[in-house]
Amino acid sequence: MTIAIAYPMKPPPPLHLKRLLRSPRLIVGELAALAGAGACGALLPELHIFLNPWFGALTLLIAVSLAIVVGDQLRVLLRSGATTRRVGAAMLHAGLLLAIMAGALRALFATEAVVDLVEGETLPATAAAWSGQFPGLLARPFQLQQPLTLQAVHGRRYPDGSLQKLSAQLSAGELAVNRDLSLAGGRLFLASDFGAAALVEWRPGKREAALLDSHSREATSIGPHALRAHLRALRDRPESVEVRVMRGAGLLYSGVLHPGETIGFAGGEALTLHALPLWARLRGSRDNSFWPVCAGFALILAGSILLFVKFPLARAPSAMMPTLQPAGSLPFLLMAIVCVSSGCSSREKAAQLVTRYNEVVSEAYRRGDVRLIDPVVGPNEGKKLAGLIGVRLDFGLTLDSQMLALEVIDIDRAKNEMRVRTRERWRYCDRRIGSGERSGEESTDSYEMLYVFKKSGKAWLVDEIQFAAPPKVGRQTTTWVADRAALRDVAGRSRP
Amino acid sequence: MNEFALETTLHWAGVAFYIAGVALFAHALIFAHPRRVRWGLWATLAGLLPHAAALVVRYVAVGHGPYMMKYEVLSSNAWIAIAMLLLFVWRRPVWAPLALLALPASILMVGFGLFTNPEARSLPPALRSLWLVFHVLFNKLAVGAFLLSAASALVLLRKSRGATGRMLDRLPGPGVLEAYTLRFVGFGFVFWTTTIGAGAIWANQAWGRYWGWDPIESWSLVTWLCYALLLHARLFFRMSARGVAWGALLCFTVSILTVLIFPFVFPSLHAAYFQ
Repeated sequence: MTIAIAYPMKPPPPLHLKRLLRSPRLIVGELAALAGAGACGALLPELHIFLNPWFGALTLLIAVSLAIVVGDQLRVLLRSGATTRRVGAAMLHAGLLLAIMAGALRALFATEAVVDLVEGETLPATAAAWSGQFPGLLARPFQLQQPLTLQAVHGRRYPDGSLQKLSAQLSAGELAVNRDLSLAGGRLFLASDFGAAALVEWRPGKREAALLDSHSREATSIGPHALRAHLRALRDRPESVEVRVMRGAGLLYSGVLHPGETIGFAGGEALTLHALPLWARLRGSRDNSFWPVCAGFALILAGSILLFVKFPLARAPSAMMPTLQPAGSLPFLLMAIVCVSSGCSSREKAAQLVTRYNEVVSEAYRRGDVRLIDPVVGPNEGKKLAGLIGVRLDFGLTLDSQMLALEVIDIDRAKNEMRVRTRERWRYCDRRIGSGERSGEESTDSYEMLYVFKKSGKAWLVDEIQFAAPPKVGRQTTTWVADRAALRDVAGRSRP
Repeated sequence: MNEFALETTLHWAGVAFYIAGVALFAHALIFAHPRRVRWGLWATLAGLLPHAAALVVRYVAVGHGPYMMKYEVLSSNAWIAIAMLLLFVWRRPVWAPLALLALPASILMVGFGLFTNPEARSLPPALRSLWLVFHVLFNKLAVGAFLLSAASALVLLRKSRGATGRMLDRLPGPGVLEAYTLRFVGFGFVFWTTTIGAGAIWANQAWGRYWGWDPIESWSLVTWLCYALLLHARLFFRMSARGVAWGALLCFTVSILTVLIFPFVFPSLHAAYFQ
């Protein structure tokens, strides 16, 4: 006979999840983790930390901790009565919780969109009409309830050329930088980007609006048969544009084009400029989390005033006090300082500067456009380059060059000057303006160069370039043959 | 005299008075003449006037407040920090030794600003907003409060090591110093919160979004979290007075990186305003 004895079952240990989530250690850890994530996200934007699921999980964990803390604080307030400190702490934490929840609402349901409109253009009331959509995870794309026409753009600049005022007249009302427009479907904002739009037509092919950049006032329009036109305006609302048409590395046309004018090319193609209206960039936004976040900010502010300004900070009761190694909780600070101070090495920086300089100058030779070199050269080297490019244009030629290899040999850096010695290999050929054909033989050359960079504001500009050793040049002759017709057509228009 | 020469002269006049103020504070404290602390206060106050006049001349010349170039930003930050210091020491003269730390730091700030590019920059349309005034003003107040907390933390570190001296002996004990370090941190925390809030409202008005993880926005949040971490650590853990002092100094370093260094380093919406 078997006697079964029933022992009382020992209940499983209660899961103290709530206690864990409101424990000071976890809360301090959460704050440190969020600060560390913020620092890493700001230092290394390419990691897209703020879009990572674990960043969302961390924020959720903080929100849950905060909700428990706020619940506890409200319970204490109701049970034990209100004191300024208790009210302050509850307001501060409730405000934080509200701000985080508003942020979550924004991440899930807010939508932003962007579109560039040309004067006279009508934006249809569809989501597809917007060129860029940035919806939240569960948000509908942005769209307005009614079509919208951009009637006029008004820009005003200071005497130094920087933007002073920008406004746009829309069919639904006026919009300006810092003055939004509320419409059915969302709010509209005007960005500071605007400029001339060259309405061009390529034959055979297409019509397009080439939007000239608001700072450089330049744009490129791609045409048929590998043609491309580089356009430049000299003012915000221009009456004409400078045009350089290229096929591959050959310059086919350089001149000024007014609305209504057409340029024809040897292959039967043609480019017509129809008009030069202005364009402006509109942003659309639909976000219902703004007022909740404002309420959150107000609570945080009021709470922190009550907590930190009205009363000096007290310690928590000793029963709540675990030990802490303060130095251990702030390693991210040191990490941030180390990351920032390390930066990139001088050699990489020198190679970047030399590469950028050569890319810009090569393109200036190719297009026969000396204005392109302004961002990379100082006045000394600028004059020299302008002369060299101009001489080639006089002979009806452009230079097509390609850097094949670059090695930085030596860097000598002073406060505002950097001397960089390089070893370089290049391939060159001259091309005739008008046809783009190669003129003369191609050459592969090797050089040892010395670049003298001087700092101007934040930029390093090339002040002087010398050969550090005699060059090894591949070709033996050069074709400085002037095509007089091309010279008459081009030189007078293109030289600065 | 043109406007630039006038504002430079006024700036240097301010610096001269500040240096005289430091000398008088040092004299009063080293040679134990507590009543002469007032001389230092008057000299520093006399420096604030030409300094303020220089900022006004600048405002008239460029047509906007001091928030576009290092030259303007550093000078106005120093003015606010010195004004806060004076206000505090006026009410509590026993804290006069703080002036020997905060005043030289402010003089360095003005001096550094004077040697940067003073070229006037026009105000872009996005910066024409009332919220910008709040954003910048509270940011400067926060930096001033954090500077005072760092000065107080430095004194606290010296005193907690048992260092003595005529100046140090005049200051309160480590307990009171710690409380005041936290008090300054608390004030700075409130001002910093206002800075972030005003910036968010302004960003919503100008760009249609109140938060966009711009590098400087992110760093301002990191600074806020660092101070929140310090306050929580002090509240909940057995953090020593030295721990509080080191924490305040580390947080101050982060705040200075955020306000004065990172805008020059990272491409950011804020970067263009300081360069």
